[in-house]
Parts: sequence; C-alpha cells; structure tokens
Amino acid sequence: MFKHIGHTHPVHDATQKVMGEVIYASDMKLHNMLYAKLLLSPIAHGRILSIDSSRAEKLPGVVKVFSHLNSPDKLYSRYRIIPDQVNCREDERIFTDKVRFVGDRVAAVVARSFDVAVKAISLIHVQYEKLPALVTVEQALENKSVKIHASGNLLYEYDLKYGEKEPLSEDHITIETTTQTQKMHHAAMENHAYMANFDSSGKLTIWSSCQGVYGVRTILADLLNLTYNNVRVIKAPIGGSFGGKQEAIFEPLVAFMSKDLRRPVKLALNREEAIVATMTRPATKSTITTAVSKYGKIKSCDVATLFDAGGYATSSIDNGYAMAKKISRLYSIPYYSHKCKIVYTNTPVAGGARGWGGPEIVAPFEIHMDAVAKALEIDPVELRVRNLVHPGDVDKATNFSLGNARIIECLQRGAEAFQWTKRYSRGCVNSSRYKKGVGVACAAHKNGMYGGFPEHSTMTIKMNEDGSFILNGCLHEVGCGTITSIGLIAAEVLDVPLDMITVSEADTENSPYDFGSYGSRVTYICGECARQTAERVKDRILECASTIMQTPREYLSAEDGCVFRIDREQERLTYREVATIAKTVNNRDIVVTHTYHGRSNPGAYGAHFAEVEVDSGTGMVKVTDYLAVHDVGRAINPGMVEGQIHGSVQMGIGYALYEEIKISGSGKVIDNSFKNYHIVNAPDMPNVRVLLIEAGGDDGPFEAKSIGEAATIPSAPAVINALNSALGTSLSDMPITPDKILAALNCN
Amino acid sequence: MDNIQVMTPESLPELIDALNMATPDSRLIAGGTDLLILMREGRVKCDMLIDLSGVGDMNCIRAENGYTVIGANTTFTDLRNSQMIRDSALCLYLAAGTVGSLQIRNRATIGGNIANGSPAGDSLPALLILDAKIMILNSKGEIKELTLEKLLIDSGKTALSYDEVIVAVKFLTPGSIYRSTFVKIGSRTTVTIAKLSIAIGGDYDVEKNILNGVKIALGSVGRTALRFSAMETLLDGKEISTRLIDSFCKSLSHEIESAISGRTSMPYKREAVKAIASEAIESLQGNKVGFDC
Amino acid sequence: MFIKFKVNGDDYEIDVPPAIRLIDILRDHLGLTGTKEGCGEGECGTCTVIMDSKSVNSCLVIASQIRGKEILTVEGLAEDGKLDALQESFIRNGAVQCGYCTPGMLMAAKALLMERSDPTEDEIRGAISGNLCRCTGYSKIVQAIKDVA
Repeated sequence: MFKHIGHTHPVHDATQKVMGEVIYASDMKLHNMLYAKLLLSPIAHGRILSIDSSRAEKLPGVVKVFSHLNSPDKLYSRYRIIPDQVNCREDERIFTDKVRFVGDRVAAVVARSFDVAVKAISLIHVQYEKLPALVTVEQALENKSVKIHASGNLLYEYDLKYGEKEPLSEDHITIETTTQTQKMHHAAMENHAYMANFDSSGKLTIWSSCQGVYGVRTILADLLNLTYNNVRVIKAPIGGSFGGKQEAIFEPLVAFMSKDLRRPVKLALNREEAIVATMTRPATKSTITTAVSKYGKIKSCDVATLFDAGGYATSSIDNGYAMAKKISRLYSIPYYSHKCKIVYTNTPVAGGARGWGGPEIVAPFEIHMDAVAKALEIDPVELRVRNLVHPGDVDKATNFSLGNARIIECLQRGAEAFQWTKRYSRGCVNSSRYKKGVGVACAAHKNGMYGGFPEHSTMTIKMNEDGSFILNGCLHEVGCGTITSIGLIAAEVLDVPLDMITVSEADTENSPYDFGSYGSRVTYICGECARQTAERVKDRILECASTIMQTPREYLSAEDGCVFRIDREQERLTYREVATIAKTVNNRDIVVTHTYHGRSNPGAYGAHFAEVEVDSGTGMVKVTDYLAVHDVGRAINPGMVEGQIHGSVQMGIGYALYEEIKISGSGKVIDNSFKNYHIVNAPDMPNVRVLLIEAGGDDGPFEAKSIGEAATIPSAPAVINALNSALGTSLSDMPITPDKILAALNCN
Repeated sequence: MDNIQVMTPESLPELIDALNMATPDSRLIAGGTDLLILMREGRVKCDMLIDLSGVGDMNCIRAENGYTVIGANTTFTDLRNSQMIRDSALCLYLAAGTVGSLQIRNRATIGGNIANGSPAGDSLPALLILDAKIMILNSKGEIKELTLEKLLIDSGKTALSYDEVIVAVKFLTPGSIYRSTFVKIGSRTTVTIAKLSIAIGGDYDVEKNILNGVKIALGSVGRTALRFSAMETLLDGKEISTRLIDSFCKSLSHEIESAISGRTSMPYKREAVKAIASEAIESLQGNKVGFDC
Repeated sequence: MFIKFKVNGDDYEIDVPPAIRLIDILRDHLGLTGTKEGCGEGECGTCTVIMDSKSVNSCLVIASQIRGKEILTVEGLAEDGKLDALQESFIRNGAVQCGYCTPGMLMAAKALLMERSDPTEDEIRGAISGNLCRCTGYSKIVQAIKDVA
C-alpha cells in the first residue's frame, strides 16, 4: 500500500556508525581547544567555606580554575525550554557555594590537556562546613529546620482530583498497595559531552548531545546575557539519551567557561560523573487505594505519592505532576485523586527519564491491579479488560479525546498470542526450586504535549534543481530513527527514493523553531508537520509544472519523481526538469515553510506479557518469554518500532530487577560504576516478540502514534507481576533483587 | 598516568632486575584489568609499574612431576582453552569461565587474580580446594613456595612484599576419580563480581556414592576466600543422601551466619549458600558441569 | 617509550608515555575515534578492539603492552570502502540505533567469528556479554551476527 513508510529502513547514518565515522561531542577536536574537568562535591550537604586553587593554577598547562568565586551567581533552571516558562524553579548556579548532593558542581579546571586538568583537580583544596544530610524524602520532610534550599524542603505539593466519589456499598472491597520505585541511571552508552566555543565576534557556539537546542539556547543566552541570535546551539550526534540529556545540565558551565576564556572548551563526563552528577529517574513512593466492586470495576482510586527531587528542582514539579495524568489515559475510573509531595533531598538530582512519570506511577498501578485481581479472584487480564478505556473515550483528567485507543485489543490479542489462559495459574506455586510464572501489564502514554503546553513545529522543504530535496526541521536524532522516519514521510508524499531527501538536524542558526524531542511528540507532531509540508511542496511542484506545461493543475499528477498529464501520460516532466525550469526560466523557487499546530493528543498504548523463572534458592530471576503488543496507529518504520520496543523492555527488566542508584546514609552513591550498577546484558536479555496493532484513526502522519516511551512503561510491572505470580508473593519494593525475594520466601 | 615509569622485563633474569628497582610505591601489572581501575580511581598510588606481560616464561600450563603448573601470566581464556585443566581441575575451569566478560578473560591473569587478593576473586576458592601452592620470586632471585591460604591475608591484601612477584601456581594433579566443581552467584548471571561462591572437590566413589578427601572453600564470605575445614568433615566419607546434603547445607548456613554476622548481606548469603552448596554437591555426583557461562 | 605496533594493517612507531592507555593512543594519537570510552573500567565494552586476534578492552591495555602487537579497530573492518559482511549485516538487520556501542559490538563479534564459524545463539550472547547496549535490547545485534556466521 505504501512505497516508503511501512517498510523497514536502517537509521540514516547506520553506515557511518558501523564505520566508526560519526563524530560525537567527545570525539570533537577544535583548533586551539582546551579541556575541562569537574570537581564535584564529596559530601551531600554543606557550605563551601574556602576554595584554594593556587597549587592547581601553578601547574603547567592549567589555564584557569573556575568556581563560585569567579562565576555568575545568577540562578537558573536547567529545565526551562521557553522564556517565562512556569514550574521552572530557578534554584541552581553554574558553580554552587552550597553543595546539596554528592556530585554537586564545586569547581572546574580548564587546561591545555585533559591529563593536566585531571591532575590539577587533585591540587584544589576545598573546605566545607558540613550540614546534616537529608537523604530520604521522609528525612527532608521531618527536618524542617535543615533547609536544603531557602524555600524549604517541600518543593511542591498538589492535590488533583476528577470525577465523583460514590458512597461505598457492601458490594465493594478496598485494596491498598504501596510501591517504591528507585532512582535509576539512564545509562546511555555515551556519557554527556559538550564543546563550546565563544569566538571573537561575540558569538557562542555550543555542540551538545541534547534533545532540544532551542531550550538550551534560551537558558544560555539568558544566563550569559547574550542575545539569542548570538547563541548557536548545534545538536551533536547523540549516543543515547532516554531523557538524560534533555535538560541543560552542563551546557551553562561549558558555555560560561568558553566565554570567559574566549577559546573552545570541551567537557566530556566519565561514567561515574554521568551516574551521579547529571540526572536520575526520580525515586518515588506511591500508596494506591482503590474501591472495587466484586465484579472488578474500579469505582474510585486515591493515590498518595512522595517524589524525591534530589538536590535541585529542575523538571521535578512537572515530572511529579505528570504522574497524576497517566492513569486516566489508561483506565476508566469514575473518581481519581492524586496527592503528591515533591521534596528536595541531598541526593543526585532527579530529572525526566523515558516515560516521564509514566513508569513511576504505572508500575505501582499495574502491581496494584494484580493485587485487586488476587483479592477478587479474577483473572488479571480479565480485570483489566473490565476497566481499560475504549476507543473514543475522553481522558477524564483533561477532557481531551484519547482517540482510537486500542488497549483492550492489545490486551486481548496479546493474551491469545501469549496463551495467557493456559499459562496463568494462581495459587499453584510448586515446590521445586525453579518456579515459573507469567504476568501482564498495560500502559498508556501520549503523543506530544498538546493540552498542557504549546504544540507546534515548523519545517522548510526546498527542492534542489536536480529534483532532490532538503528538509530543514529542528530534529533531534537520538538513535531511534527520527531522521529516517521524517524522511520516509516526506518521501512517501513526494514519491521519491529516500536518498533523494536530506533531513537536517537541529541547529538554532538554521533550523526553524521546534520544542525538541520531548513528550513523545516527534513522530506525531514533527512527522505530521513533515507530511503537511511535503504536501504543500508537491502542490507547488504541480503549480510550477502547470505553468511549464501550460496545462491546468487539475490535469496533472505527480508520481515516482515525475509530473504527468493524467489524460496523456506521455506528456511528462521529471522533477529535475520542473525544478530547473522553474528556477532558471520561470524565475520561481520551490520552497515551502509550514507551521503545524498540534490539535490532539491521543493515547499510545501497549500491553506486555512476561514469563519468568525464579530460582527460589538464590533469588535470581530469568525472563524466559516476552510479548509486547502495541497500538501504534501506523508503523512508519516497523523495524525501528521493534527496535524501540526491544530497548524499552531491556530498560524495564533492569528497572524491575537490577538497576538502582543506591544512596548511603550519608548521601554517597554506592552504585557509581557499571561494576555494581548493572544493566541487562545480552545473556540475560530474552528475545522479545512484538505484535503491532495498526488501526490508525488519529492525527499523526499516516495515522502513526508514538512508541519509544509507551513501550518502556509496562515492561517493569509485567516482569514484577510475573515473579509475584511465580512465587505467590506481593513484592513491590523496586528493584526486586534476589535478597528481597529470598527474604520474602523465608518469611512465608 | 603520564608520569609513570614502566619497566618491561622479558625474561625471569630481567624480572629480577626490575624487582630490584621496585619500591613500596611500585606495582606489578599483568593483564591490568584490576590494577588500572584501582589506579584510575586513585585507590592505589604508583610511581612505577613493572609490566609482567612480556615475560614469556610465565605463560604456560604444564604437567611436571605430578603437579599441574600454571604460569602466573596465564589468562582465564587460556585456562578455558586447556583440556588439561578441564579434565583434572574442573572447579578451576568453571571458575575461569565466570571471570568478567570475554574481553576481560582475554587479559586477566591467574597471577593477577591471586595478587589482587579480593575476597570475591573467582579463581581463589578453586585454588584453595586444590591446595594450590604459589611460587613467588623475589628481588634476590629466590623462589619460595607459599600456600594460597598463607598468601591471602586480608581483603585486597596478600603477604607479597613489594619486591616479590607470583610466577606460577601449582597443585598436585588430581587422580582420575577426583571431581570438583565451582558455583557462583552474582547480581546477574554473567559479568558480575561474586556475591557468593563455592568450590567443592574430592575423590568420588561412584559405587558407594561417597566423597573422600573433601575440600570446601567459599568466596565472598570473609575478608578473604576461605577454606571451611570444619564443614568438610560433615561430608567426608559419608554416603551422599538427600538428607546429608540437607543437613550439610543447614550447617553451612549457620557457619556463614556467624562468619558474617554483622554484614547486611548476611541474611541473603545465609539462605543462598544452601542453594549453591546443594547444587555443587549434586553436580559432583552427576558429574554435570555446574555453573558455566 | 618508543613503541612499534600495527593498527589496521598499518605500521606505527610512536613515542608515548609508557602507561598511556591503548584507547588514548588510538583516539588521540592516531585520530581513530571510532573506538569509544563509555566507562573506562572494562564494563561497557564500547572500547573493544581486537589485539592479536582476541577481543580486549582498550581502556585496560597500556602502551608497554602493545609493542609488537597487531590491533584491529572498527576503522579497519571495511576494505577500500567496501563494508565487511558484519557491518552490512548490522545495517540490514537494524542492529544500529544510537551507534555508540556499535564499534565495540562489531569488534567483539568479529573476534568471535574469527575464532569460530556457526556459533550458537548462546555463544554469540556470551561473546558480547561484555558489550552493553541501551538502545536495541540486543536481539537484532544477535541476529546480525548469526546472519554472517
């Protein structure tokens, strides 16, 4: 049916990647460049009394040592994308004078070589006045007199409600569960890296592996008092982000130092710095209480969440609030309330991570659903069918349509493909050492930010004289195939081979405005922008051809890179002829700039089924089978959709079983290295079967919907539900590590 | 790392010369997979490295006078490729397969694993039950022998002086009825530091279902890898019934409980040790390969 | 220290600090930035190269140890611009997403296939157990290696 979309293509730069030719920010070299190294706080909370960098400064090769003593004290928020954005608490400085977590930015050395910079760090002597470290949300709330920030430790609080609470009848039961989710490291293989260059014309250029160049520009320009046109942010190739590079964590620091020194400065973090000093998925604790009828209909749901923001606010207000908006996209619940306290602690800073609040609330909720199923003795799949949203339903929290929400179909078709009924058993926990069990979890995510944030994207497509095209959008390829997808969409409309379209990447100097790669908006919003822009270019081509061929536009059609008369097909021009003649003979150009305004935000849905085998002797868990079913509307690039699902499941298994940034009582990060922070490796990763439901029906390009975050959300609870089913336990303190499993088994 | 001097002996005489230049701040590097990380983390001060990787004499696996002799530079991949080791010292063969990733095994040496003295060192429980003797060369050119038990002093600490180097490991080549195995638990199934490991070996009488001369050692339950001689008598010379395995595991569990009573990992290890011990014993009976990767 | 060694078939003779890491020689001295540093401690595998036919973490090898050795990096896989079968298979099978693990993954796979043909899936997963990927979930990488085996 389609020539380009719906077929699998590799990422646009796959050849360069397999050749090792891609230059990531840490590979970059500029003439006259300098190298930066960070000095991070070794204590969780304290005032900096003095910084003696004299010995470091004397080291040959050291150019300058920066700290709060010689850097701006202006406060900013690394989360801000647009000027005057709400919920951006401005509470951080480039270099702090008060450290608020182990890993906080104390100083930096800039030197002529990286090795010298490293050596110089060890020569800086910092004196701290230690303050009590509040490393848990509970501690921070209790100890009001120890203020992490002057505004107090409670960063934000909300109480969201919708619907009507019915009085409880005898026919109802009440279930309460509590789930703790942990701080998680995004664990992109590329650690954060930046190159900034402030040149003598007064212009700052920064290469950053970031997810939103315009957001970075806003922050840097405002902070360093530069006009926006004098700050150029170029998106460098990204070696994975998953949200971990979506906030301007170190750009202000590198930009400032380059501006001060008027030379290029490169900062490349190592793994420990990436784990500790960038951002983490937030740790949360949610207590969920539902009133459910005996039939299994949820009548009301009350959630209380404690959200650990870490040492600085960044995105935590919005991120915490986002948790309250997830369940109503998934389940039809007459009454829902969500109270949340978002709290500063003296721990590594929380930030957005793939799913953005989704995994943090849906994992607890799906674990809760299994508890409800257990209490009512209803099959977990069946219970969900009775409560999930239907196509066309309205999201009760926002009153926006959920669009063609096919989650029930995902669940039912998945259950069939997974042979759920045959494999699911409750209460038959056998006595052998190895116990098998299956679990299911559902999730909803969104498609863009319409409904909560402005939503538009602008693109320009220009036609070259030879009939090829350049699509200029502000696109951020993070490895998921964005550039290819956009290219495929344009190629489908313009009907030319994919390699006739070059899709550019984000650069504030050249790209039209776009908010960036957030909120699963890129396929849905940018993709549709590309489609509409391409349609307009096609119109223009036909218009120009009409003039050239002296034929009414209505008689002409464009196919296969040619324009021809519908009634006399031999009368045709190639795109090359149209473009060249238009530009050089008819004095016209074929270039279209179009702004697309998003006007809907349907749900993107998935149901995951997992089978695990638990060694009840050692507590080790093996995921032995996995099926992911996703309502994607249309798969623009099916192979990449699969790849996103596979990667999402890898992250989810880690979230469920292995990964945690553990913090000691004094605030030190215990798992600060891949030696003890374990992500799933190849031997432990199951083959993930994928079933895509392409039922269209929404406003995305060719009716496509998002996948990358939607697939991450159900994966951890599917695994946890499977292991609880295998063992007859109710474990919910994530990650469910072997010691927790054995402790539970030995209690029983 | 820029200012560190590196000596590169290529023979034992040159190695002795290098040892004479050693100071308390110098270090020996073989595969480098432990040392370089410690140096990078700043946990080890170093002004000079003696790079052992060029000393060819130290890379060998051979039979000599009833002993199996393994040169200290033998990598874990070399051990995995050795039919001799697989046949006579399965515990060591299995342990070698659990060391890190393939990239690590291609570089990490048995000498380094011993000298690093980690309580979680994978080769150590196997070498302990094999009654391994460590051949140590010093700056005077003398070679002395020390049992592995005497060499391992504390977590990360051995009895080696700064001018001494392990050149080889040797153990009496076990007879044909000897069986041994090694089981390890980590945080994930592969590429993980041992949270708990066990090596068990003995002469197995198939007809009577008895292990004679049982030796047992565990890793990650003390400041060093440890022989558990008291446990050995519980198995030695007794018919291995399900009941015996059960009571053995319970006793071992109690031992672990007291050995690491203050540690937060104790509740877990106390339970998990039962599983790996029974798995180990059962694999000895069935001559199945225990933990493999 | 003067060291002589071969990289991708080319002879090199350079003077470097003797304890400098191979990864730094490759990236900074030889300009071969295809080999990546993801952790600096031999856990992530992004720095994997082949040395004397074996896969090693170049972040854990020092200059004195590469004398006389033959090293193969990702830049040495293609010949005269023609991609190695493994590289083509990675592209074809969708085994490349962000690309950061790709060079190390290719080298680990290449080392495996240099040693044995027709490895089982378990053997493939074992050979790349020291190569972490956060994007692909490994399945398409394993398939890509299988296709060439």
